[in-house]
Amino acid sequence: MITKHKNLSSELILLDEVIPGGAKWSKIIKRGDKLRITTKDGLGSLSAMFYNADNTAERFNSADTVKLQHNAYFCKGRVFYSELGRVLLSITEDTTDGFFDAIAGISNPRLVKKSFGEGNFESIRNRYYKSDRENFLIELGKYGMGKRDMIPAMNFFRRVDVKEGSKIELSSSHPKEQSYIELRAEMNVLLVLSNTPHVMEEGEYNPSDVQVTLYKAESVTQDDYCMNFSEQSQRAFINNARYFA
Amino acid sequence: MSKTIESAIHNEKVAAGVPWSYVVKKGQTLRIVDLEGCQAVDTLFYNANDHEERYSANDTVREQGSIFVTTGTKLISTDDNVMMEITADTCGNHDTIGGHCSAESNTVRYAHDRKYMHSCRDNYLYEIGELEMDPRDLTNNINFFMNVPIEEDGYLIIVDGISKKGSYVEMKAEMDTLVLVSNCPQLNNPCNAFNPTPVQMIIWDN
Repeated sequence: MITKHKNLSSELILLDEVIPGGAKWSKIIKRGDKLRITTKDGLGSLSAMFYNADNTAERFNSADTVKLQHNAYFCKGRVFYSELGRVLLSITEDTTDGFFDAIAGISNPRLVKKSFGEGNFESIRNRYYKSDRENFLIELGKYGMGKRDMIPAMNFFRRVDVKEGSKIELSSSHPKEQSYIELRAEMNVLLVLSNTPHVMEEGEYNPSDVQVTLYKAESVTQDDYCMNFSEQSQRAFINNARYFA
Repeated sequence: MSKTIESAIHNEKVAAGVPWSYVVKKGQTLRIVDLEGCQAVDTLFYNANDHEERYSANDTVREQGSIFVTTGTKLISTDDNVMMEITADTCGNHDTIGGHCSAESNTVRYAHDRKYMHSCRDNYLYEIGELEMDPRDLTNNINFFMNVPIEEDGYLIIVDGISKKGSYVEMKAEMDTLVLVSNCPQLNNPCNAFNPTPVQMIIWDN
């Protein structure tokens, strides 16, 4: 069910959809538009791969993204870099308080079975236990893309902590219900999402609904928060401007 | 068979700043020697018979629960197979997070006038072109001998290397593995002590 947005005027909304637990979704987000992604009950977990829609050889690069910002974690103001020194998406809002993960990657059928047990189509029909690998291969295939395009993914709404400088652990905490992240496309971006449990989650296979709301945003000005978040971001936005010159 | 230079089936010095690739057959062991210390060796791995199967940083890190590569680390592929296992390591803390440098990322990290300096990505694209692979085969690599710890608040930076002259790391192939290296030419940070140097590649049969 679509939840109404208290702080978003309905005239601006281009698309408002619920991605049910287990499902995959994709969309080309046009340059300048924003996508609000809401975890309805706070228990969502979404994996994302994204690309320059006009040249999918230019892909999200998680290594450059953490290296260029000197941080493995994310918050409002930080950006997601392509491997060509440009910004694909900016985090223009984050009410989850930093629930992102760029380290753990995606699930596959072996891991889903190991963590949640057997849940095949024959026995439980459309509630069967889908993995990220299945979801991404199917959704990327629709754009003529495949395994080679399966890049190291971003995960939204879960956080993986790094302890003692190197050990990784899935945080057991979750964002509050109805919290959201907002991403602004800094070029036309093909965004592919898989709504399955985080790859390090175990127990009951019960992915929860997320809502995606696409809307027309105000144009980016020179005093933009994300553009001026760091010197690196300023230079990256210049690279984007040069790309569109 | 003991691992001496005489018993090696391949022994090659790779100059500073250049690409290198070689197929290490299942059962063979590759040793990478940091000849002068503090050199970053950006390394990728592919199934030699199917390049769409490649090293996965995410899977390797998650399965072992640590961001560092060292003895005992299994290098996991995107198809969930073990490609290689690290069997010896006299250095420790090899990086899985920082990826490789590029002309474009250098413009963001440092300044726009750094764009025309040599980079690992150029090395990779050149070698991938020569091998008639697909540029989309590139992914997050391992940086042998490069040190990038992550602090509790997520802060990370490439810090001074801990690799000494002659440090080495050895890995045994669990499948026929194409190893693709850029012997890092970065001059803007301490990943190679601001002084790129050669490394030695030595391979032994099982």
